[in-house]
Order: sequence, then C-alpha cells, then structure tokens
Amino acid sequence: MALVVAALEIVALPGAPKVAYAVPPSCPEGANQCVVVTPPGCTASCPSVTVGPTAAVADGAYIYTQLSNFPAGDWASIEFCPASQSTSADPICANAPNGIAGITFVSAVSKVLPDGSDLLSYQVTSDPPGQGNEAIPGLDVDGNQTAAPFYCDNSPANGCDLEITDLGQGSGGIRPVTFPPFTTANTMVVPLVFAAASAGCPSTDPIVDTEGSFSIEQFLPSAVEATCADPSTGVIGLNIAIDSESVVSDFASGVAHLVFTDDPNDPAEQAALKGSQYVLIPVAASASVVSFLSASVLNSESTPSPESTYELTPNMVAGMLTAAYTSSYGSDLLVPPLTCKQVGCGKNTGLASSFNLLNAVPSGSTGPSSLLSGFSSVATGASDETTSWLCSMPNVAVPVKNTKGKTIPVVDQNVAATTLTTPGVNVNPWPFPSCTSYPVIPTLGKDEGDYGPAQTPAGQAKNIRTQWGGNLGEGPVPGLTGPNSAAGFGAMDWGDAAYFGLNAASLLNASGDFVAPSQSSIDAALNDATQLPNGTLAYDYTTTDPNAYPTPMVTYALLSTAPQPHDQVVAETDLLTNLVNFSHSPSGAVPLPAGYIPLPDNMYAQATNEIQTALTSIPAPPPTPLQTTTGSTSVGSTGTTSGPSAPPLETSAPTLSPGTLASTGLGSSVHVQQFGARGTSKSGSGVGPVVKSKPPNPGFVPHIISLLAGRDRWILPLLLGAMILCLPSGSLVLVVTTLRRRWARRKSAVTEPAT
Amino acid sequence: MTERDTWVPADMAVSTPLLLPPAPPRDVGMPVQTDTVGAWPPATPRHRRRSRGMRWDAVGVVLTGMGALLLLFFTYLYVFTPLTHGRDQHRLLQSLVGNRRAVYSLVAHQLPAEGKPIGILTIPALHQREVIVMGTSSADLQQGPGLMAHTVVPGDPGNSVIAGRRATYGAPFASLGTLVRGDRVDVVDGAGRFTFRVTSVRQLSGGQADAAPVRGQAWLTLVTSNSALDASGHLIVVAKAAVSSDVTGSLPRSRYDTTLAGLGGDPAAGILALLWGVAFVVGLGAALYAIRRSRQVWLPYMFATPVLLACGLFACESLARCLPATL
Repeated sequence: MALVVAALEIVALPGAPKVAYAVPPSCPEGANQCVVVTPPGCTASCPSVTVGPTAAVADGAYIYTQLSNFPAGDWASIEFCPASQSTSADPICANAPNGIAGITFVSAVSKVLPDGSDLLSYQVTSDPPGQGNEAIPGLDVDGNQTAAPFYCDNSPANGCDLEITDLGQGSGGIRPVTFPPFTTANTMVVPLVFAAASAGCPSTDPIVDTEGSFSIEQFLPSAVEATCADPSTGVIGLNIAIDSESVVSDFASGVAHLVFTDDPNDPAEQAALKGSQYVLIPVAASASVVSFLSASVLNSESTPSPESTYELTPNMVAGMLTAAYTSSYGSDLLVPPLTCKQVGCGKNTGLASSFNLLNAVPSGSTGPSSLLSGFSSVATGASDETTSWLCSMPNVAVPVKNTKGKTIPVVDQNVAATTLTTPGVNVNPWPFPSCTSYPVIPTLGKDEGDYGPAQTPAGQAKNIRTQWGGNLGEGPVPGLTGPNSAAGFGAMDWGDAAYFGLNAASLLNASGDFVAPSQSSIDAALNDATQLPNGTLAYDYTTTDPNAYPTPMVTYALLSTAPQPHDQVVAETDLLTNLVNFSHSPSGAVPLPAGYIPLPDNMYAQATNEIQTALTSIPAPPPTPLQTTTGSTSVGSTGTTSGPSAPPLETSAPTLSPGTLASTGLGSSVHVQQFGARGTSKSGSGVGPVVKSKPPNPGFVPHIISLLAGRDRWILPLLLGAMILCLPSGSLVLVVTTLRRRWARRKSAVTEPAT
Repeated sequence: MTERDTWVPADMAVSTPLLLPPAPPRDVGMPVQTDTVGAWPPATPRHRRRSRGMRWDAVGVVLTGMGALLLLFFTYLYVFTPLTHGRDQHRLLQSLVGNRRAVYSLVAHQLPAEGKPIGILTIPALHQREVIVMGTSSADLQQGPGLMAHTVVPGDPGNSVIAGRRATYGAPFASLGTLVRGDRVDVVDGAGRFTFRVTSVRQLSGGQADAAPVRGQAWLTLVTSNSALDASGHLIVVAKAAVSSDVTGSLPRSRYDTTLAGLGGDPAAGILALLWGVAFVVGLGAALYAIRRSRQVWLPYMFATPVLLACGLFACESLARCLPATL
C-alpha cells in the first residue's frame, strides 16, 4: 500500500508542561520549530508525532520525536530511511550497529506509555556522495537481509526522512521481532531538510582566532557561517572551546585578544583579569540547564520507557551532584512531613522520594533505578550558576499530588546546603566545605557506575547516554532492548544539551514553580537580573517571578582594549558585530542554533554601543623594531625562523608584545606572528640548548620505542655538501675556461698580423 | 689523401716561410682541397684543445646548473615550506573547529584517519600553538606535529608521543630544547583539555631506547631531531599530566599500522623525486631547444615556465619527503 507523507503543520508551541507523560505541547528543541504529523484522513483521536528540528538539520544532530495518542502498550519505532523508500512496505533503512563516522544506526524502538505518549530521539547525518563520505549501510526493516547503502543530502535523488511506525502490541508484551508492513495507517513519514552545505568563507576574509567557554561552541560556528560571506565585513572566527577559567587566563596572559566567557564574575576570572584592559560585550543568550536522559520502569513488563520531562529541586540536584542520591528510590524523602497515607506509598517509604513524587510515574511503575551524576569537572558557567542556584534558593514549598489528585504544598525537610556539605562515605576530605557557588565542581575521586564527571559537554553527554542507553553504550537511544531504567543528569549550557540530544529539566524557582528553559522564561529571568558596573548581569536566583527560569546565561565577549593594530581591531569588531547581529535577529539560511534565544533588545543596544566605542577608542601600539626569533638560531645557519625574512605563517600563535601584521596568501590577516626568543640561543652548531636533567626516574621502564636514525639522515648533509661543491666549482670552471678562451683569442690576434 | 690535399694547421700557417704563396683565407683547421673529396684529417692539438675547452665548458655548466638546482631546493625547503605549513595549519584548524562531530567522535572512541587533525598543542613558553595530526610519517609532519601511532591520545593514561619538525615546514619544534622543567604544555582535543608539566629534556642517540613513563599515568613526549642538519638522534621533552584524566575519559590507542622506525623519511618519495627531476631536466632541455629554434621566443617561455615550475615543485616536495621526518 502506498505511503503518503502526512500533512505537515508547523506550530508554534508553548513551554513544557509540568507533569510527565501528558501529551506534550512543547517543542523539545525549545526555541526551534517543530512539525506535528498526523495520518492523513484521520479525523478524531488521531495519533500524532511532534518532530523537531526538520529544517536546517545539522550533521549529527538529534531529532526529537514525541509520540502522542498512540495506542497504549503498542511498540513504536523510528527509522532513518532514504526518501525513495517512503512508499515501500518493507523499506531499506539505515542499519549500522557498529556505527559509521561516529554515529550508530539501528531501529529505535520503544514501548508507548499508558497515556499514549512516548519520547524518542534519533541522531541523523548529512552524508552527501563524494567528498570521501562513506555510504550509510541500509537493511530492510523486516530483517530479510536485503541490503543497500544510501547517501543523504537535500538533492531529489538523496533525500532522507524519518519514518515513525506503530508496530502494534507485539507478542506477550515483548518487542516485535519482525515488523509489520509499513502503511499509511501505521507509519508517518517526516522529510528532513539538512542545513545547506557551507560554501565556506571567502579566503579574503580576515581570520580571528578566539577561545571560548563551552557556552559559545554551538553558537559561534553558525554565526560565522551566516555572516562571513559579506566581502566587506565578513570575518572568519576560529574558536576553541575550553573551560572558562582557562579562557580568561589565556586572555590575561595575552594569548588571545578576543575570547568568550560565560562566567565573567567568577572570582578566579576576576583575579586573572586584574590589571588587564578589556570590555565585556554580551553576545549570546541561553541558559544553564540540568540536562538529562531518564527512563522509568513499567513493573508489569520490566520495560523502561523514556521520560520527556523532569522536575528538579535544589536539594535533588545537590544530592546528585555529590552522588548522595544514586537512585530515585529512597533519595530525598518527602515523608515526613508527608505521610504514606497521603501519597500512597503504603509501608514502603522509599517510594516517597521527591524524584518519584514530583515526577509522577504511571501506577505500577517506578522511577529510574539509578541516577548518574554527569557534571562537569572543569570551570564552566553552568556549574557556577547551578551551584549558585541551589545554594541561594529559599526552601520553598513544592507541589505534590496526593492519592486523591489534590495538590499539597510541601516544604522539603532536606535542604541543599546540608546535602551538599554532608561528607560522603570514603571521601576524605570532603570537597564541599560550604554551600556556595562552585565554578569548578570538585570531583569526588570515585570510580563508580553512578558517578561520571567529564571535562567537556561531549564527555558529559557520552556518560549520560551510556547510563541511559545501556548495552549499546553511546548508542542512539533505546536500541534493540530499550533504555535502562536509569537516568543521568549533568549541568551544561542549553546549546550543548540540545546538540547532544539531551533534555533540559524544569527547575524550581523561588516562587515555587517548576520552569523549563524557553525564550519567554529566559527573557523573564534576564529582566529580573541586575546590571553590574562591568556591564554584566547578576542573576537573581531568589526572584519570585513565577515565569522566570532560575538560571539564564549570557555569554560575553572579552575584548582587549590595550593597544592593538588598527586592522586587528577592525577585524575583531567586525566579527563581534556579525555575532551580535546574528544573535539578535538571525536571518537567512542559517537559523539560531537550538538552545539559544534571540539577544534581548537592551543587550543588543549595549553590545553595539560597546563595539562602536572599542572600534574608535582602542589605540594603535607604538612602533617597535622588528623582533628576530633569536631563539631559533639554534637551528643553525640553515634555520628559516631566524633573521628578518618573512616570519612563518601560522594562524594561531599568541603574542606577548604588540604585534605587526603579517600579510598572507589569504589576504589580510590579523595574526601577529612574533616568536620571542626564549632562553639562550646557540649558533652554528645546529644543536639546541639541552637542559641537563636528572637521570631517569627508577620507576621508568625501558620501552619499546627505539628511535633509530636511518640512513636518510645523510641526505640533507650530502645535498648541502653537493651544493657547496658544485656552485663555486662550476662557476670556477666556467670562469677559467672563459678566461683561457679569451687569452687564446688575444694571443691569436696578436700573432696574426705578423703573417 | 692525395698529394694535392694539403692540411695546413692554423698555428703552422703563421710560421709558413715567405717562399710559399700566401695561404688563401680559410677556416682554421679546414683542409685545403682542390679537386678531391677526402676524409677529414685527424685532429690536431689545437682542435683537441678546442674540444677540451668545450668539455670543460660543459662540466662547468653542469656543475653550476646542479648547484643552482640544489640552491633552489634549499630555498624551497627553508623559505617555501614554512608557507605551506602555515596554510596547512590554517586548514586543519578550520576543519577541527568547524566539524564538531569529528571532534566529538573522539569521545566516542572514533579516531580520525591518518593525516587528519586530532587536537591542538599549545606551549605558552614558546608562544606556540599547533594543530596535531594523526601519524608521524614524513608527509604527516609536513602539516604539523603528529601523534605517533600505537601511542595513546593525549590525556589518556600512558605515554602519548608527538613528533614535530625542527628545521623545515615551519619548524614547530625548533625551540623545543629551550624548555625547562616545569614549563606548561597544553593539549586540547575532543576529550578535553589536558595540562602537562615538563619533567625532563634530553637527547637520545640513534638506537638508544626511549625510557617510557610509569604506567597508569598520563604522559606526553615531544620528539624532534637533535640537529637541524644531521638527524643523528632525537631531542625529547617528557611532560607529565598536571591533573589526572577523567576516570571515564579512557580513549583507545591508534588503530592503524604505520612503520615509523626512527621517524625516517619516505623512501618511496625518492623515486618520485627522481622521476620529477628527470621530467624537469627533460623539460628544461626541450625548452632551451625550443627557445633557440623558435622565432617567437615568448611562446616557449609561456608554455615551458608553468611546466617547469610544477615539475620543480613536485621534485622538491618529493625530495623533502625523503628527509628524516623530524628534520
């Protein structure tokens, strides 16, 4: 039976609901658009799928699919298929359990919850032919072993889509082994349009090397791609994302003149910036989120199902952060002050945890049996904000539903300050002496299955997904056997959470409401913030604004106002202007990445004002003599890095002194390439200075690596010798023969007349 | 030769007695023939001297030409290769920061292919920042420092060995010997940022085994040639991670198999260099011939110049790959 793509309806969706398992009206991607797909011809009680993003899909992005109104207990699958298979009853779709290019492709199968909803996400790839790309292995969904690889791009021949299918009840509640035929009655097809392949930036664009905290790493490449094509103002910003404190430290030491930080008021960063000349310019608005993946257990069938929303209080986060709460059972009990009679936990008070009571599971189910602490172990604004929030928040009442469905306000007797500072077992000394902000969340030195800090958001996402995805490790999502009844949580910026397919939890604010990140909730929080003398915002974690998300985040550019070459200033300010314009009002083919909201008007005005001031006020450095790289004379007379000849062209070398422009084959470049001499230089011998070191540590073990010198070591000396020999000797021979010839002619001319 | 054939050597002509009739004008060394055609007379010493002179000319031209070509090669090696290195570094940096999925794949145990970027090495004391590529073959190190196969990725427990060139292709490790104990070395890759502190700087002679660090800790070894001219050994800098890597940040070792014995040059490139060299010489000869024969001199110049430039560049590039990879 032919399949027809269902009618697509693009909807603007409100914020996330507060109750789990309800039909979700929210777009899982937050600010980005979603599509809602229903079967054609269905007029009432239609199943639907909310999918997003479906346009400008980045390579490697996760596509959220939220199922609604599906038959309870049915199994649902998502397949990534070529568009040419959309009419097939047994389509050949992506199948690569071992992964290609870092992405695993399998059928994503999950059991629909009793309320008819389900949440799945699927990682897709833009895989055009050519360019050395490997084709995506394809296999028919019914397992008949018909294989055919395919490519994916936006061309008519290689279009790809997601096919979401209701597989029915299966047999005995077990996942169907063979799939039913895909028809219009059970399958919805959602075409995907990938982000247009970047044409690249013109080679005439100046290049500015930057460093930035993780909060900018998803934003900056999109912003550069959207703006670099302009021949007069386009700038290529090459950013390296690292922890916030290292960013500022490098800025203060002169490694970079333009960096981005999400935590400018971190005391360590402030200390590093002391004595530096700079201006802070707001560039991107987002949020610090507690990202998660979670699945509950349906006891009757022991089949986990993913949870789409989660509500967290400060104490719950404090407990997960310190690995004190490693299971939803028995963690952060709300009994007392509640009683089991009120919440229906019988004699099993362990069930009356905030994890279970605030994140209701269907009757007969339990929340995730294990909780992973997947926070960052390096300095990030998200860590700072999250710990500030949980330590600043008043202990407000939270709404809990009793057995009769009535909402009861409950004040948790466990408070974050106590949970955070209570020493854990076998950790001595306890790294949290007080409840305060921790830009760097101390690690506990534990190596347990429920504790997985990481140095990057990618690492955090991997650990969270591994906890949740089970045997397939970092597999896309439920995998063949479904997710574990487990959850992983970690604070990171919203942009990274969205990119890695992680959900963002709803956090309790001071008014007692659980609020999810969205444009409106972040705007509300930014409106409640106070501006500091340095131009940044101090967020109000105690605001009673019911709509405010507790932890908004603004990423600031740190621009050096110390003397710089004017061309460099122009390039930096052009880049900032492009970023700020894109952040405030993105237009064109490149949308604002998921997890970011448009920069508010007042911040945009502040940013443009500061950029303009910087452009006109940053002075040029005084003229300096050309520095020679005397340190490099250690390479001997053949060294090229010495002397006044053209300095090596490198794109990212830092400088300590005001630099000069180096013209490059790429057009004007703002890179300053002056390597100062360091240490003593040696001349002539070609052997660099060697620091006398101690004898090898007795703990060293002689190793396999035996660095042999081959015969090719003689090539260069021989060639050099040959050149030294040939040039003068050849010239000498030519001179001598020429002189002899002239002498012979002169001699013949003298004696000739005599005859 | 008949009696009528008279061979009058030029030098003897000037000493002809006055009684003889004046010799008719003729080319020096040419026989005087009247009515017969005969073989050329055997060469006289003057002719031999002339031939010797031409041979010496040829020797001089060949020697000078070889010297000039070698000079051009050294110019390529020390003036041009830093430019290509800079271009490659820019391209690698752009691909590293632009292709997020490739970077994040490191966390998923997916290592890039040989020659692809894997991270960024920063040495603040040397004001150096270089993109590290996978592999340490001669071609790999032309782009920048390379991660040696079968060693761990920086930050992973074990010894991560990064080799770099000392004198050519931007000489990223030219000043490595100036590092002192305690200097910081940072590596940023998809798994995080790892800070190392230099513990020792020393030289190893050819064949000397390199002592490896204690197992279980994260170490970094930077390797380059001990000399800018004669790579008879290696200069190594050993650094230890300032903080231990994540417990869960364990990454697998390189999977591909590359023979690295001594980080030597690429022997196959020698044949290529020879072929391109021959092509260059043949092209040069043909161009000179065409210039001599052609009435419109600009035509051969126009066609020959790009061809000779290309052949010359390829020959130089191939020859450069024959050199030790850390030079």
